[in-house]
Amino acid sequence: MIKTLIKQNFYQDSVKLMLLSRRLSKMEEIENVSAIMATCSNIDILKMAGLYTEEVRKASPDDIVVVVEGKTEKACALAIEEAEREIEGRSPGGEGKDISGEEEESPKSLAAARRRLPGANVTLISVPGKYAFDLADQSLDLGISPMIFSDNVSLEEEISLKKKAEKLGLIVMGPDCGTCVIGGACIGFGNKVKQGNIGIAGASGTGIQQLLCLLYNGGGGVSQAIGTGGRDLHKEVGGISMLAAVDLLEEDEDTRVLVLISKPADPEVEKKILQRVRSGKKPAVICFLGSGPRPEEADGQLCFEPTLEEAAWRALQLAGIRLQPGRSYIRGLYTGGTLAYEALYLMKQKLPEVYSNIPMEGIGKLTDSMVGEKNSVVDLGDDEFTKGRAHPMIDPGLRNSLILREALAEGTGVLMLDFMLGYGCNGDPAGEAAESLRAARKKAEEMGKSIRLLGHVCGTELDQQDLRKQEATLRELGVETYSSNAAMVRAAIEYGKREV
Amino acid sequence: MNLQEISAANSKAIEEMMKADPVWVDVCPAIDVIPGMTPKTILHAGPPIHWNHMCGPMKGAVAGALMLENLASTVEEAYELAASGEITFDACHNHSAVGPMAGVISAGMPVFVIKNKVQGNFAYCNLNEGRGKVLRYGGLGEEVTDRLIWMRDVLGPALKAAVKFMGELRIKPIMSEALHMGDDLHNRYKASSSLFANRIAPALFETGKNGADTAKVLEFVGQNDYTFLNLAMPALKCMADAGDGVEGSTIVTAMARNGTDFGLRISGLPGQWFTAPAPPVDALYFPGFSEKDANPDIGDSTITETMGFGGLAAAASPSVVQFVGGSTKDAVNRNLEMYEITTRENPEFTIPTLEFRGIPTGIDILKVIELNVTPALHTGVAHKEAGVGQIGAGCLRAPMKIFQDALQKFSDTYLK
Amino acid sequence: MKKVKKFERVEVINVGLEFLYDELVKQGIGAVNVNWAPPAQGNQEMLNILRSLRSGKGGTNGD
Repeated sequence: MIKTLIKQNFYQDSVKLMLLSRRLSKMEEIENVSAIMATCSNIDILKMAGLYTEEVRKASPDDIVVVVEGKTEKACALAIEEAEREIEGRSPGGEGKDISGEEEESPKSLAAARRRLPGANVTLISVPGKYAFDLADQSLDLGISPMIFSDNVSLEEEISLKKKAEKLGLIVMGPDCGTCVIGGACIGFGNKVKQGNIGIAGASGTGIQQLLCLLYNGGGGVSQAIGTGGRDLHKEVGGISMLAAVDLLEEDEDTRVLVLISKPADPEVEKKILQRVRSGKKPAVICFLGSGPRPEEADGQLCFEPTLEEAAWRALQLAGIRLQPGRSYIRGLYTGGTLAYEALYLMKQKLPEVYSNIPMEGIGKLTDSMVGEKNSVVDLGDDEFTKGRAHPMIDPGLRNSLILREALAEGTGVLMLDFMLGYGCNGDPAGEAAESLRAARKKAEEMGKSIRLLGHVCGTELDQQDLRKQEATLRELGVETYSSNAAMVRAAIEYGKREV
Repeated sequence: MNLQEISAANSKAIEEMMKADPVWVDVCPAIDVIPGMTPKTILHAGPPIHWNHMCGPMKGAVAGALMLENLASTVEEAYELAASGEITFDACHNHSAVGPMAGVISAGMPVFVIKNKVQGNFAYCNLNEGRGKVLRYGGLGEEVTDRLIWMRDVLGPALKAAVKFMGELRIKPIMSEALHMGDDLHNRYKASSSLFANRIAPALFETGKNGADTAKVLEFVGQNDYTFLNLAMPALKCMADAGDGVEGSTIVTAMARNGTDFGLRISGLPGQWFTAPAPPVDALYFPGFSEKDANPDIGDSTITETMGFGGLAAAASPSVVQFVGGSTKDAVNRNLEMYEITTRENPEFTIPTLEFRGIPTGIDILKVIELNVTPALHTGVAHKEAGVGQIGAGCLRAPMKIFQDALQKFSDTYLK
Repeated sequence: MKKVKKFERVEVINVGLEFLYDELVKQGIGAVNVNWAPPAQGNQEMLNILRSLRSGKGGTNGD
């Protein structure tokens, strides 16, 4: 069965007609299709294909001819119908795809990527280590600093890349560099932090992350954090990237304070780096883990800290963000007597000038049991407070009334609170303290003072008050919660020390 | 030899190529102009190949040429002669020539003479026979022979007279304009062939002795969509050759197929061929044909891709785009990919859909190998049997092996 | 030796793990992802040649 369609004086591109043929020939029970402009040479092709029909003879070169051969009359008719629809543009489409949703294909090379993103200034490389060198090298050739996230890059390759970068005025971040913060963006692993004035150069990815978090949580912000790769301060590499990072941070006007972190550095390399920092004007905190504090090298510009935490704290101080000087005292308002006693016991070992309303050897007696002095702990469950009043574990009203004054008292930097849960205890001690805590925080803020609120909830998840809920309430109020009283006290002591 | 030196060599090769200015200056019998041509030489497309290994269409074309040259009177005689060893077979490319499909050029055939006005080298190509049953697809018979004789006796001399009258005709401006008119300069030559016919029409009338002949010549030239193929190819060959033989260059100077093998040449290893079996073509077939009928890829026309046209300028040709993958976006993507394996963009030939970016020029085998991306090629498909002709068109990728072999040889040559 | 310039802003070309690119996009910074594949599709002979060309040395380079 053969059917013919002739569209007189109708032109279509031969490619379009071939696509039509291909589509029609895929229809059911269709065996052979030809769609052509009826030129002489095309008519010859029709003849060869055995599709030359009587109707075709009448066609002129300006006509479209469609001939279909199929198993049934119906199949042929359907195909002809479809051909007409498509030729007249009424078909939903041949083989041409809808292009509206398609993405431009990703480039395959750095050079092509750079053409797509002409302002690119960092190449983040995380391919298997043995391929990282070539890419980093190409990146340098394009004038783009590479951040090599990959590990397993050989020491020779690292040295060669860093020497090349040094000549070009670029920096190689890595290899095995997990974290950088540049231009407010985290590249690789990193925590979302505020923009600020502390610049970090670190030969350790998680070390940088720890710093970022401590700085943020301490109220500070970060200008840039440049990872150098863990081997940068080895003798062979010579700290090339750390030196470049120091230069870069020195030049960056948003950076006021530098923090340099690394595992122990080669002594010669360390010397070179410290020299470079000293040649700049900005204060710097040096934390080369494991190399210990070195007060003898500290001067007005450089200070050395043994841990990331202390380095962060020092940086916040240098950046003018930390608690105000002098606000260093710890105050405890306890409802639980033994917990108060434990606190005093821990405090007197570490701190001078500790006072309380309860007697203990080495502890001063408060003049007024309701008014703290210097470092002090008040046991609000002591007999003198419970005369004619419910125990504070049942009614924390008295403690709540003291929170505001103690928090704002001259010299106070840290306030410790206990929250006792269980049968017989107040149904929502954290909730009851909310108003006072909020007020204290607000007032402190208005006065430009900062205060750390620490809490320990003594309870279980099975308690009617539910440990988790109580802790959550406190954290929402800006209270740091600790799993034991001793942990809270130790933290308070650490916080207090930094204020000295 | 290091990357910097290679890069410098490549820049030099590409600059020479881009600087070249091919102009059409003459039409002459092959034997008068093609270097090394003898009465018993048959040039063919692609890398050199022994008669025994030639594909059907090429054997047919060889037989037709031997009969045209009166070296044989029947097809059987021609096959016998071809197999006897008496005939010298060689690649067009080895003689500054190119030819589409079988690319067969024999001594008496008229050829376009293209001169590079800058560096002074020449390139040659036979005249296009049009569509249907033609020699370049191995077509045989009276109709084919009669046309070839007419081309030799009437068309050739008429074109020669016309170009002599004009002095010369620059090829680059026509290619450049045609690229903006939808030609890819490999599969589609509608615009360029029309432009060409317009340019030479006055000269044909000025020089034509016989009105009827002139009319027929103009009709033949103007209505054959592929007329300009045989001018663009030698022009691009002229340009490619201008950048050939630069020491230490890894730039491709020729890609060509003989229907059996796919061949590659690079600038730093002049005259050497690297070959692999010619791949099949992903094609749209004319009515009544399918991939079962298809010959492996054939022809010197990939000289167009060598210089940045055809598959390397896919985005320029909306109608060819449909062969390439169906959507214009695909063509754009393919085109963008080609920029990754080339070294420069030729500002003389721009692609409107790519914001008038210059065509990707100077295929670097180092990039091809590193990125594992071989050039995308547009192509016509020949029937595997001699004489049937073109049965479709489509696209394919050059085989990776030839690039690897070339790099190996480059390394053996330069890294000693 | 040139002094390294500070980063005024950042735009990143990502090569390798695609999720790192996604994270950059999430932060709203200019980024483009490279559709990377091992060079020469891991063909060791070819890689060796590319390497030795890059280093300017004859023979093969240690991998």
